[in-house]
Amino acid sequence: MKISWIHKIIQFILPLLLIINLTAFSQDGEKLFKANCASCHNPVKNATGPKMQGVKEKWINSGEGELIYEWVKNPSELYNSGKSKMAKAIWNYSPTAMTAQGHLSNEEIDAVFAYVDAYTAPVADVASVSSSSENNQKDSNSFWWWIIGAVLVIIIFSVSGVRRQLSYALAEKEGSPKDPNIPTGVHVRSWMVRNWFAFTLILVSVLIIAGVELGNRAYQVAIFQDYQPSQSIAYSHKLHAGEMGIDCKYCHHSAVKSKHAGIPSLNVCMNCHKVVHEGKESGTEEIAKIHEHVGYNKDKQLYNKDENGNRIEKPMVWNKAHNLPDHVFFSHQQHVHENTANIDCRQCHGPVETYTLGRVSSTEEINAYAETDEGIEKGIVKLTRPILTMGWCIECHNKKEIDLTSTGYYEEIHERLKNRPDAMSEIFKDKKVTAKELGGWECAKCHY
Amino acid sequence: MNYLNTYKLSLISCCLILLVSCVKHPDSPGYEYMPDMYRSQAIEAYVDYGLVADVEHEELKTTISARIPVDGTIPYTENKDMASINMPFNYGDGEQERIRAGIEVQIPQSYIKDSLTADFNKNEGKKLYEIMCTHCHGDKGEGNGKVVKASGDLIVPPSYVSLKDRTLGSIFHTITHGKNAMGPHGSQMNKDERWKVALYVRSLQNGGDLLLSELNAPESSNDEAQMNDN
Repeated sequence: MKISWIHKIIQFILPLLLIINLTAFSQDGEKLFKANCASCHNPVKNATGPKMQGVKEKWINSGEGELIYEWVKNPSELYNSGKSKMAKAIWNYSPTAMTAQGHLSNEEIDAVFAYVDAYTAPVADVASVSSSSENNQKDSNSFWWWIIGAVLVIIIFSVSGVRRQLSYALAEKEGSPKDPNIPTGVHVRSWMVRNWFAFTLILVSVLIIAGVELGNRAYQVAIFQDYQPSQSIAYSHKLHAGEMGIDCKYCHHSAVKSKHAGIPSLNVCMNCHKVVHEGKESGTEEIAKIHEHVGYNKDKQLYNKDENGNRIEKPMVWNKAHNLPDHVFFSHQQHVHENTANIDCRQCHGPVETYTLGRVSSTEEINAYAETDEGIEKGIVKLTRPILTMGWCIECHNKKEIDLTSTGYYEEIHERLKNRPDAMSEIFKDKKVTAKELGGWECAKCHY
Repeated sequence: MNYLNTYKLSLISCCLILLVSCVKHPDSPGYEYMPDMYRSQAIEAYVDYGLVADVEHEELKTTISARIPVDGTIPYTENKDMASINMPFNYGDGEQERIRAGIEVQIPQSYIKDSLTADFNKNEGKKLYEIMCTHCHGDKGEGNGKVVKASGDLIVPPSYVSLKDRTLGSIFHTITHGKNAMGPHGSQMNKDERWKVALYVRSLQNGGDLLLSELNAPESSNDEAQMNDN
């Protein structure tokens, strides 16, 4: 009785132990894979190195099951020895030679391949990128309204024409023919005289409406709020800056050094897209456009070159969204660099990480962002004037507080102010320092 | 009579067609007050000179306007240390060159002349690291950045701790020219910034501290052995 109990327990535990052992084995393989292989290989996708799933089987099938260990430990030696066909076949997979992994034992290599062969790709948590089809829909809708309107107007005119002809015919039949040669203008004028009150009313209201409309339209001139031009590549800020958390200044890296924030040259795209060839929705085609323009052969992982060794490239034409007039000087460096104003990008560009293509934000949108926790933390100031207008600029220069204790530019300003107590007391009268008080409202600060 | 009507009708429909054709071009930014004051006559960056006075110049639109500096140009600076740092980095692309740079190139003394300076530069490097590197390499250099996760672990950068034997020269080369899946970042950071990032990367490898004594002495590394092998 007792023996059978023990027997049963052993029967139960042994397979369990085996399973535990197996998982430990594959975890080991995962660890080894991540530490040694993952920087170039993906189990199921081609990257810098070819995908690894099923590779061991291929080597075994070609009768070189033992040589794979030699390959992993020292690829160049195996290739140079010339005894392996597989090594020859994959040697030119990419221009990057595989790093020798001499410290791995045969068991460890087996563990890595066991992990890789059992691997299933996790579902990437990349939300969909909304396309611009919504906009197109709206445009074509308004086009059809125009057509319908035109048809209606034509119908109204033709009906009234028929009506008039009928009334002529009727008058002729009754024996008092109207002279059809009296011009329309005479009819209209006689109507005006007869109904002079209604006419004045209509005239005045038309004039008022036209004046108000004209004024409104005039205010809309040179206001580029919500302007989102199409681009050669449908790049999504939402995906890159939002979900992937890439800093604005990674791509627009010249913002801290130059007047211009800079449109990233394609080599910046290629920092990732030399291995990332696929995207969600239209991503794959858009990435193919980068490769086409920069002249990259993703299969060979090489840049196309002509016979002189020069790269074959095509320029990419972008549409500029934010445009300041030539008579305004604006420098990103002054506003963004941490030793000067150190303003967050979103103060002027809004929550770009929620847009797809680059777009001029709107004051309302930035104000809404300023109320969020993130906006408060970043010190976004709420403004009232339309975005990218002079009123908007100087409103911020008047509202935004400056920290005189910060290092850099304002430190220097502070030192200079110390020698001028009268100016100092004038500035500190309202207990805060703004750009306006330090010359931010001088005409020549921006217009020269 | 009929003639007059047809004439009027066609006139009206022409006007309507004209009106309909007034749809705004989707890529047009709208109206400007004085276009001649908006558009610079002098050459400015990112201004489309392919469209001057409503005339398109296809050849101007399709020539590359963003260019790289002439080979060997050095940014001017009055600072002597900085001038020597800005000297050309004469190591090319590729693994052999990286190993060579790792052995031959030392971090300029001005970055690590005392612990205060080194700490300052490390912190400057941290700021740059957070802009330039975090999204792939992760906050602590463990290779767990958001981009890596979003791509479904297509490529996982190695943890910095596993690469402790890399010299600062080698790290500098990797930032400049890239390695494996990582692209070259030499165009995004100047040499000064790259050295600062390299210092911060080294501090991440040591758990946040910089060991000044080991920064100067070049470590014997696997790389060196590999170099001798080849």
